[in-house]
Amino acid sequence: MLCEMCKKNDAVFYVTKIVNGNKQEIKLCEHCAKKFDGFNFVSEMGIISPFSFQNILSGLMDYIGESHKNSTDTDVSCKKCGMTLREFKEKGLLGCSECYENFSSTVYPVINRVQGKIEHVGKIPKKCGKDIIEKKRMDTLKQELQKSIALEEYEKAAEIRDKIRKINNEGSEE
Amino acid sequence: MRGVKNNMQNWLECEDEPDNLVISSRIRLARNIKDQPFPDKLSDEKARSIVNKIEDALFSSSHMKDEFKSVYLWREDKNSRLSFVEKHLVSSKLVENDLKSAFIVNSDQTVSIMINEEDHIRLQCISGGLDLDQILDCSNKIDDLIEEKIDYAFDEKIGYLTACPTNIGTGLRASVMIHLPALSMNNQINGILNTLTQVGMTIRGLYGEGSGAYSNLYQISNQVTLGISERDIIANLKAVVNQLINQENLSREQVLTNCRYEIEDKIFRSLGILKTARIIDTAECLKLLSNVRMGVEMGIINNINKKVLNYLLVNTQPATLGKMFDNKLSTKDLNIKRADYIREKLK
Repeated sequence: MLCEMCKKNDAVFYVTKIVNGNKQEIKLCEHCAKKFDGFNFVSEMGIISPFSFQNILSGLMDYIGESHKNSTDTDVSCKKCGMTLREFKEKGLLGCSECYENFSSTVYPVINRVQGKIEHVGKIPKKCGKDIIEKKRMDTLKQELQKSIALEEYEKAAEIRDKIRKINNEGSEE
Repeated sequence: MRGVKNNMQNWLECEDEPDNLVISSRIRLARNIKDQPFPDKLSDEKARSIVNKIEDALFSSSHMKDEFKSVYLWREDKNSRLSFVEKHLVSSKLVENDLKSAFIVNSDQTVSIMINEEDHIRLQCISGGLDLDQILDCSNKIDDLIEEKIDYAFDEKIGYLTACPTNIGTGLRASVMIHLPALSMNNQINGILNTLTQVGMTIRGLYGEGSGAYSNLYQISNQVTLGISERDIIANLKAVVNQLINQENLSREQVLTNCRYEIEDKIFRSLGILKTARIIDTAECLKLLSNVRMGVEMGIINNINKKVLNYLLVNTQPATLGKMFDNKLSTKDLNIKRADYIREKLK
């Protein structure tokens, strides 16, 4: 029997994987079996990678925990859904949207590490995000106003000021 | 809601330029309903009421009712459920939740709204080719339509709230399925993975982590979902995919220059086996289909179109094949049926 990887040497290692009753076999020579170990081997055989989010999460949380001693009490639970920190650590999933607030001291550092950032800049839902869209628009206008003043572009600044006034007036009329 | 009528094309039917290495592109939006626990924390009964709630929101216009239909996973048999995964209509996580989950799919199967996967709503739009902008437009339209009736869980600072922090922010995962046989042959996939990770993206084999090893089909997708806009995510993905296409084509040219006869031999032998074999397992089938696909892409084989290969790819998967013949076939009988089916289609 030839090695299924290099198709040159004789296969001496027989690896069998059974998942949900489906049997799969791979036969390897000594050389390829060595090359094929650890991470590679696992992924080639289709077994779930040991580097899934759930698996590295607990390590991450322990690490974060060192700097936030008081927040790592794993029996703390969410007032809304009853989810505990321990459960989150094991499954990598939160129980409800309020978990983000109730576990903020643990979850935010995790988000920061996983995503690299902590500020949403994408789509905002039209209906329930209406106020947020308005607020973001106002913030941008105010920033632009500051910028034009700093650059001594007073005409542009006046334009922006009028825009802001208009929005404020519309708001108060409602 | 005529706006949802889209220009997306069922990826199986897609046979435009034969040298296109991209098989399909997909965008998935994760959304949750405000003030409801995420699916894992819901009882089956409560979860099914969420299914109804989303159906009501979506089917409020009669046009949508004609165009879409619901499939409740708790009413389907095992092979049917797995077959939905093999056809890329749903994720395997949705099938794991089969007592709670459902999906709503349109007639050409380009839109699938998964309910009670990891999140209440996983809106997936999938189309042949690499037109991610078009797909994003379509996703947004359906997302807006649902949001007219349903309040989403959303936070000003961290965006759409999802069960897993890896999806938070935009909730958007864009992925492109691409055929990379020459790069796989040269063992360059791990190198690609290392590089992609540095730019917030990842690569994995089709049908789960490891099967890229057989089919040479890989999904490239974004990992980072927060702090970047939807358009920027897909722009980055497109840039990376185009780069990979260039690399793959370069590798193929090299192979052609150095060992033209060997590669042509490999391609035509693969076609020969597929056309004549009497018993064939999934792994061998994927491997040979990849060789033939490469032959079509390189213009070495001219009389087979991609549509045939796409259907063979999906319909030779165990659950889909089993469903076509007999759900109770043993693995050996299934391997015989698979060979029969392939010979018939390549006649």
